[in-house]
Amino acid sequence: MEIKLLKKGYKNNEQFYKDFLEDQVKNKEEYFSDEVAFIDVTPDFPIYIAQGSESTKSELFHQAFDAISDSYLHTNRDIHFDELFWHSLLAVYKRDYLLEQYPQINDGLNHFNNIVLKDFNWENYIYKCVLGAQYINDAISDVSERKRYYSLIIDNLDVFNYIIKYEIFRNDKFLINILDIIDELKLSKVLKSKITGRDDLGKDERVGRRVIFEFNKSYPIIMSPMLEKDDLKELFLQYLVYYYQDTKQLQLIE
Amino acid sequence: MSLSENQQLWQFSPIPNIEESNFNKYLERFYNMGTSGLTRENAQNSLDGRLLENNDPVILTIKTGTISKDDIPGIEEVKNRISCFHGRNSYTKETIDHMRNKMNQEEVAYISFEDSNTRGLKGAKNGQSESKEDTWAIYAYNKGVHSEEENKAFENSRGGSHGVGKIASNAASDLHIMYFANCDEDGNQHLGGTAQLLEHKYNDQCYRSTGYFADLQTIEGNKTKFYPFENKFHEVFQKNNRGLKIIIPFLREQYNDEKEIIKSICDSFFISILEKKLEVIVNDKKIDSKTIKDFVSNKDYYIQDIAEMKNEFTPLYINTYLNEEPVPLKISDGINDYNFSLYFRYDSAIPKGRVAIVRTIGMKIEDKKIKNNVNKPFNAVLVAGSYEDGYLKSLENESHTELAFEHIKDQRLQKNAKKFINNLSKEISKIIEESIKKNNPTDGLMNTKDILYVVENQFKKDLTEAMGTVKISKDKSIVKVTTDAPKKKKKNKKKSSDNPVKPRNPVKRVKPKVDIGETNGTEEKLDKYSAHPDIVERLIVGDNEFVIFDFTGSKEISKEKLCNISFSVIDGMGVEYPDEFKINDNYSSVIDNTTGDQCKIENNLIKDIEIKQGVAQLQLELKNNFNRALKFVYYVEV
Repeated sequence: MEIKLLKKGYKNNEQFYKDFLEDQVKNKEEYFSDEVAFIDVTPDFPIYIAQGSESTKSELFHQAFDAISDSYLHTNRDIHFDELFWHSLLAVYKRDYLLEQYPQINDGLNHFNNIVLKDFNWENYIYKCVLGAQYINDAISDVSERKRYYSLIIDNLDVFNYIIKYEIFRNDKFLINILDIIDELKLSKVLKSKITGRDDLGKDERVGRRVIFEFNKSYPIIMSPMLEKDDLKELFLQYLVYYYQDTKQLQLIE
Repeated sequence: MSLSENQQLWQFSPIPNIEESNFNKYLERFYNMGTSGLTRENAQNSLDGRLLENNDPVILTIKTGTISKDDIPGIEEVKNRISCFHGRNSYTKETIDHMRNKMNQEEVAYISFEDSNTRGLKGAKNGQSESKEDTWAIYAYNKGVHSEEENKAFENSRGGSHGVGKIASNAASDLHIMYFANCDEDGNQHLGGTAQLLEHKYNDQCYRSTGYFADLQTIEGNKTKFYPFENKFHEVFQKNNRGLKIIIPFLREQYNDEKEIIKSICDSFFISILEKKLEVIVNDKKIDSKTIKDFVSNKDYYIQDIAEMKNEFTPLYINTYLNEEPVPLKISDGINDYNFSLYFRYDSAIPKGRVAIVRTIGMKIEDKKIKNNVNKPFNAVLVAGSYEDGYLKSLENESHTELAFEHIKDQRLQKNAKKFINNLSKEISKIIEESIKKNNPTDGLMNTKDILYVVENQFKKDLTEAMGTVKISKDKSIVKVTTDAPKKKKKNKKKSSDNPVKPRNPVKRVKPKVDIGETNGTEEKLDKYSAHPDIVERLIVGDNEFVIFDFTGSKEISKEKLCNISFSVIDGMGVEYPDEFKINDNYSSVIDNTTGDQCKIENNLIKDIEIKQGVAQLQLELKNNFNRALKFVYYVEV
């Protein structure tokens, strides 16, 4: 189907928001440029996964990953990595679904901005899922293996966020290596745990984040995405020990 | 005084003609607030009437039941009045029909609110009185028969003890009548009452809408005055110990709901109850500091699943209030500061975030929605001190259900009130945001406020130049890189063309960061510079790191004798983290290689390194956990 793309100026626009609520956007030519994008199917999927229990969120992420890899990833990258495409799709073609799923959009422009017109970067749930799905689909062909990796991303979302936050780590091999290391060594829980005894780091620092940050700080940075898994593992464990000293757990790893 | 057979018990003031054909509009407002409005008003009035000389809890006994119509004093008179009403619009007609429909019941439902450990009203014996001491007169007659405007009286007494509650009570009665039995300090017992009817014509005379259950006595000439009846009526109307009892006969069916009554007590007065300022007995159920939890954790009364708590938040509030440590919160209205205690709880299961705004001894005013945070997972209770109570009271709207500024007439006060309400939201949303960041850091924002940055983007430029632009569909080019790190400002070229090109300064002055809590005035202020990488040499051999600073090219530093040096880590994207690297945690010793002495380390700063002929040298012994791949920006203080 054809997705009419929005023209610049729709962001942070009270009138646009009002028209969205009143279902008028599609009728107003002035919001659209002449450009269009083509996509075969545009199934609904969760685009904002900030609330609910861990298990609900996990379920929603799975739905998003499945929908994206089944349909949206089949488009060109310049479509599914394009903010304008997503904003156009959501604001014009997904209005009813969004209002039903996220009634807080009615509460104000900022909710609309935060859910529908969220900047397309590492904090955006669609971005997270598109990038994750793209990396996994590019590197892994087996369908059930893909699902396993989606689960790994979802179970280690905190680490995943920090990987895609630093653009130097936006790399499929690095992501998959890190996920493998976490999986092999059963580190998921350890990485999510709070760092204790380090008041200098702020109240809520997590081990996983700091390990990724330690990679980020270590020059020459560009090397870490190119390392083989075993070399990466060595560094990973070295950095892990800086923040996690439960020797019992670590012995298990060794 | 004793009652004779034909004595008139209800007094309506004669007026020359009928002007107003509607019921008092506040009746409708309270009617819409239902059980909770009625219960809240009466309980708040009881709390306001508490004895000041002791700390015993106010005890409010609420009873519902039925009474024979013959035991309701003066009811036939009220019925006679209602019988001669003329409805002049559809709403009024409907109300009159409803009254006529209900007024002939033999068994009449009632509710009573009886308080003790309260003052009761004073000066009933004086009847209608001008004295401010005589609270009976104020309560019973407002401005009495000569009151020009009922609404004005309402306005004046708003928020005071006993006054507003009365009309809420009238609204709960099918016939708009309520009685109040008072027993004062000396054991004098009287019964009064009001009826909020319509202006009407009765026996060829027009009468005002408000009726008073009182005796009319003539004093000097043609002046008349109201006096209350001594209370010798049916036991439902009796009040035998000090305090006040409100009796509402012809209780509307929808108000007769014990569960709702109990819930509205818990909802509005949980703090008063937990703090042992109030105990409420509803028929045979007692709500006090011990039992309130039984009601709140009972699924017959409240939804127990946190994820479903979208309208009623009392179980959350009580949990928050009992389990969280209060933090002080100062809120200004632009002129005065008001101090509150905030009990705050973050829980990702909570679907709707609300703040209970509560007066210390009194009711919850509002489940406040904080702008932009209505769906955030938190729960909070904001409690005022007694000084703040007074202010909050002035901000309550007429039905005590919201903090508002619109009703304040004085422009200046209104402005301050608006400011206060905005600041309140602002302060609380800060706390919400902080805790959300703390608990959900994956989606949080990075605080880049004090990050200084150096972006070395030459490589990126070279790369862009070296590579051809890849064309993909629709002629879009793909070499577009957005970095999360902020871009360097463009240099002002015009300026440099005016001046001859200067050699690059090896050090760059850095504006001192203002640190709260570190304003130690005794210490000498030092200039701080960042060192250009070209003047720093760094080498790691075994467990030792050597760093040499060559300041010879800098006129600011080369002449100095001593300097202090600090380290800032740079990450892979060129972002600097000033407080990330701790010298003490990473080095076991720091030696000034010029003198061979150990250096002192204070506040993450290596102190007093000697500069000899423009050069400073450090030897640092590494601890095991030192990440050898770190890259730094060095700061020099002289």
